[in-house]
Amino acid sequence: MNAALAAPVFHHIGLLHDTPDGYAHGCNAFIQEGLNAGAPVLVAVPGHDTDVIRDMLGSDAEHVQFADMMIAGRNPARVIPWLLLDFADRNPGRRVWVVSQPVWPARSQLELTACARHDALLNTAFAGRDAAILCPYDTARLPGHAIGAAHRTHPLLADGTNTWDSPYYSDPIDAARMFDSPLPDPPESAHRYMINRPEDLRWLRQAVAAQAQAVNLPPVRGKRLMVAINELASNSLEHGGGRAVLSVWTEPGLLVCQIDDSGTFANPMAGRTPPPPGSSRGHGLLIVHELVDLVRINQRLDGTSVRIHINLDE
Amino acid sequence: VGWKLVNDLLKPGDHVCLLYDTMDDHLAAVARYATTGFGSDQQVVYFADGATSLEAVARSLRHNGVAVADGHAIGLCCYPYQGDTPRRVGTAHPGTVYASMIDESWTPQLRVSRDPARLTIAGEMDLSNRDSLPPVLERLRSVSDPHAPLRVDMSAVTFADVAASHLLVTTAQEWPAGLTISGCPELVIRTLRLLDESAGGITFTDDAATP
Repeated sequence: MNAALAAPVFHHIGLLHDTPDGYAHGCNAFIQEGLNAGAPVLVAVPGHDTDVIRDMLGSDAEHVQFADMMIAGRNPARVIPWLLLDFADRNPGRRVWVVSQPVWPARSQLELTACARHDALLNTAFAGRDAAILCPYDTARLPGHAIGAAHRTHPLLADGTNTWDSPYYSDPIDAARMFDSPLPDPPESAHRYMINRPEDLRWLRQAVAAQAQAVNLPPVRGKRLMVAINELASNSLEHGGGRAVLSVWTEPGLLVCQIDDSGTFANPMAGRTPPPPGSSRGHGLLIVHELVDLVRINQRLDGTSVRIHINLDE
Repeated sequence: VGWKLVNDLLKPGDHVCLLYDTMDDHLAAVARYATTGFGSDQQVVYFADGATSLEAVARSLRHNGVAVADGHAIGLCCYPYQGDTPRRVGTAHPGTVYASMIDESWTPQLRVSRDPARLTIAGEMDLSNRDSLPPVLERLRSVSDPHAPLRVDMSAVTFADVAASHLLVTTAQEWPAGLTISGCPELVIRTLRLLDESAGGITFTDDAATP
């Protein structure tokens, strides 16, 4: 693809393709470059595409690690800490090569926004690290705004033949803020719970368990949701103005929860990168990102809203 | 006060924080608590913040038919409920409770008890009692055999938040011979492993409790 990609710095490349062939060849060229350098290679793409790439690689596939992004990256906010940094940390002192594709056409609008924020913050999370990350974007099937986001969040763009600097690339934190579009209002019919003091958490967890049971969520996933809501509500009590409102409702295929408080969400990297060793704080959101299927944090003028999705159709 | 603090609600080692609105509520609660204690032949110790409240409580007790002599004392932490009270004091009390929340089915949300070789935790660990475990661990550190692992019985734990799990992870890393946790709920094991992949220093024993 480009010899300069082997330089020991962070390269974050958006692969723009419009055919299955363009996709396969673009990914393959990148993977081969990593393999030729004897580097650890991770391919994290949606289920079916994993097979496409595996077939293309043939016997080389055994030197490549695979992850199904529809699981590992179901929640885009999970990808940096639990997949990419994890892979890099397992290969200390080595340049890692990753095909990372959290964006696919069936993603909802809310998910695509979360993907755009992920791709922006990836630049901050990996700044100074020795890694090459290629993110495929299907220009034929993805909405225009998703392609526009790719231009803003990837310092380098490629089309399988050429690689060039993106003229639209902008400061990652600014870009992440730009993609932080307001969340649609919870429906009037949502169940609402007020949290005013730490002692409220106990019955809040009971209420969440009841809601999870009402939509027949398997108990293990209901428990995970309960842990996630408890962490978000605790954050609101501690840092978010001391009180919060939880709204719970269903949408087709989804159980949706939103916590609104009056706090300021100061650190855009919270929950994306692990807190420094020895720190007793900052683990909550990291775990929340691992537990649920979507986390969207929206900084409002007068507070913070956190929306989470639990997929019901699995 | 419209509640009964029944004797069997509390067990040795419980530490209950009672929040009250008015001085009358305070006195009535303390008197009722102490009367219950006296009624079952238990010793009641009361640390008061001044002679006035000592006398007032003694008066309430006499009113309840308890013969109060000098040297009798009573033991329950009471705080006037003012906006930030729970924030200031609640998290150190595993059993913080509002008078209005107590009925006969009430139990403390968290129970922590220890002997030199074993820590037993029961109930739900969250922000409301976050500060109650560190002092117990601190004390255990000074009285336990440093060459033996600290045994922690979590079989009656029904919930632990991420901060509680993190406290266990750091305790395991600092305790010379690590932690041996029995009956750890599956979901807590999962959180512990997410926080520290190797769960270094922690040994799990027994079947995990149902998640």
